[in-house]
Amino acid sequence: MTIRQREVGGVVVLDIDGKIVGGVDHDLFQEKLQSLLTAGKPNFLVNLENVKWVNSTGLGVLIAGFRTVQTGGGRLKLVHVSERIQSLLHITRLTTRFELFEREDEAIASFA
Amino acid sequence: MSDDQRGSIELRLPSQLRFLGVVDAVVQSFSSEFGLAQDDINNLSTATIEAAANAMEHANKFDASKSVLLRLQGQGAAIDVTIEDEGQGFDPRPYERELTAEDLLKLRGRGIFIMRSFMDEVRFARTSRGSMRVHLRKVGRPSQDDSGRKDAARGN
Repeated sequence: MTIRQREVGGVVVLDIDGKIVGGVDHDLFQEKLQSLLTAGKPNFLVNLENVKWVNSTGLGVLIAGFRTVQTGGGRLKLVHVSERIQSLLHITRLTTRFELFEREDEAIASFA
Repeated sequence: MSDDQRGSIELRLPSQLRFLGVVDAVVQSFSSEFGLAQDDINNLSTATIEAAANAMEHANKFDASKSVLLRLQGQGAAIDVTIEDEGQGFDPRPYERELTAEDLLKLRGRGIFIMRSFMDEVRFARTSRGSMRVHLRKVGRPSQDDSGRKDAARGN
């Protein structure tokens, strides 16, 4: 997994590429979020357009990120989530916690 | 059943999570030969990845000398997958339950629930060597593309 960051309308967009399977992915994601929270950036939109699938450990990476941002007083939302990943979020009932968006502009506007 | 409606493939994977992408590629490619709908193929692949990751981590403990054996067998519209570790297996019983509200934001412990949710059949069996053999079965529904082809063949 690799992460590229950009900022749109005061929201940090994290473009994830590759598989999210836990292990080093967890550490990479946490370090990125922690450093940005420390820099005073509390709102994150995670773009999963280039993530084909995640496993249960990968869900744990996203949940850990969600909890870290929530604890830091911010919000973390998801955009461009494939049907396959949505299916996983649905059966694990994580759609009750994560906000999902089809379009980036709508997602950015939701932080206002 | 004719020979072109059945087939099998076996694979030996190193106990490293980076090879889970190979599992996905193989399950996707193999299952598509048996006419499963794409969401059934995705669910089968997701469940297989869960079982393989369990074998690598909890049974083989990421030991480089131990492999994960993956076998896929297709017969008609059904795919059977077995995943076997070369370690000490693992005890699935603590995870054989529905997710509760308290589980929602836990970081681990969903793998077996995901397998059971996505598969028609999931079985765990100890081998004589003490390892664990996980059997997954998915019976495919005809994909919409297939239905269209059959309708066309019937002249509908």
